[in-house]
Amino acid sequence: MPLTQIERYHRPPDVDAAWRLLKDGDGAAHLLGGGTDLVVRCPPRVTSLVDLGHIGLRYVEPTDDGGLRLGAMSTFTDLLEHPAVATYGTGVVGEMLTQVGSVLHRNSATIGGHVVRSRLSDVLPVLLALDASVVTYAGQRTERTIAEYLDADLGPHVVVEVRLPAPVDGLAAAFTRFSRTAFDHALVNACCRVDVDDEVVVDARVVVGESTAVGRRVRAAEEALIGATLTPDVVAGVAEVARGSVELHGDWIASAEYRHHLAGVAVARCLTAVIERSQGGAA
Amino acid sequence: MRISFTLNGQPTVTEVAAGTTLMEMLRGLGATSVKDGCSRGDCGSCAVLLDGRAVTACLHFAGQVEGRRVTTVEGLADEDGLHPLQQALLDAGGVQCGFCTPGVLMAATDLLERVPDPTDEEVRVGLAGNLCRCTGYVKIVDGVRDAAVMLAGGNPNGDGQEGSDG
Repeated sequence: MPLTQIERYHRPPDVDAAWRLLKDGDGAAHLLGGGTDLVVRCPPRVTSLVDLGHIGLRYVEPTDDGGLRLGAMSTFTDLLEHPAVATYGTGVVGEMLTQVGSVLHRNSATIGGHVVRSRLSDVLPVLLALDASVVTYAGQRTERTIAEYLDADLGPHVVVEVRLPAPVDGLAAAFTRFSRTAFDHALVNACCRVDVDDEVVVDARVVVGESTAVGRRVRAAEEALIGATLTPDVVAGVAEVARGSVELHGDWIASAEYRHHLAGVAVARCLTAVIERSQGGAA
Repeated sequence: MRISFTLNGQPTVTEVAAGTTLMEMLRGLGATSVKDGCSRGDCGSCAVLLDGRAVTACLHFAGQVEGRRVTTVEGLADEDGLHPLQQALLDAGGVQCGFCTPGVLMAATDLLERVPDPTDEEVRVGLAGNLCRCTGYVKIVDGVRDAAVMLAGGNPNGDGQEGSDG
């Protein structure tokens, strides 16, 4: 059935025009990226769509310092087929993207759309672990860390691009998820990233997410990693810390107790993969 | 709203309501191979090629194809007969009720464009978004791999190859 609530469909020529349509819509206008979420979950008060497909936001470009700029309208397939993105962070970005939906979904879903939606996403834990940043437009361009973006109350804005910083030496990372079916939202997902110097962890990110919430860093687990040498015993200990300290919720799909158990397993599996990748020497 | 795009190689201009999905627009234009299985992107029966990549038409608004190329099964065969994928799927027994078949063909076309000689696993990953309640998938996978052989100029039955008894 057509969405009869939609009365107007805009194709702005640039980011500023898109933002003005969104702002002037006063809640009745909605940005349209890949569209994979909007057709089935269109908010009832939305009566106009602002299509971002004609303003040049589909690109992957290197930055001067060795990082990457990912245009917000880049599809997951675009990113998977770009060698620098797919292999970024010892392959963690590609590892995550191949676990998001089917090819049909990945050919449409955009990185910007997932950042805006935030919840129900496997993308956010990886971006948090990699210290990614987000460039938004609301009359002017502003870059924020992904953590700052998620905590900010920005009002009407357009996500323009996601930036991955230049990978530091010794970085290794891994992602995993648990869900009822392959394409279901994750009950729990996790991304672990460590920076190793001379076999000692000098920095770490442990991010755990769940289906109803945005991923969050588990500081206690990160602190347990820093200064350690990655061994199976250390991995088991950090996983136990994560299981006990992460904040997770229960619902009709899975209890909080079960999700805490899964969080520990996910962190252990990620860190075990990180050990292998760290020894592989890739960054 | 007015939409101009290329449908199966033909320049097309049409008028639709602003909230019309791509699936609804295509079926209204006569491309009834685009099946409405779930209307929420779960089954893949409405898959079409958008600029050569398989997507679910039910999760796209019609306006998103402005200026772009859309291919449905109606654009797969030509005057010489069925496309090798269609023929291979028939020959392998990968078609039963046929409802999912158009979407499977579109996803398989996308796959073989990117991976001309896929493994069973690569076919299964490529078709993971297409649900079939009849075949059990085995014969669909066989058909897609046979089509890969045909598209490469070979014979999936091995006729004429060394060791074959025809």
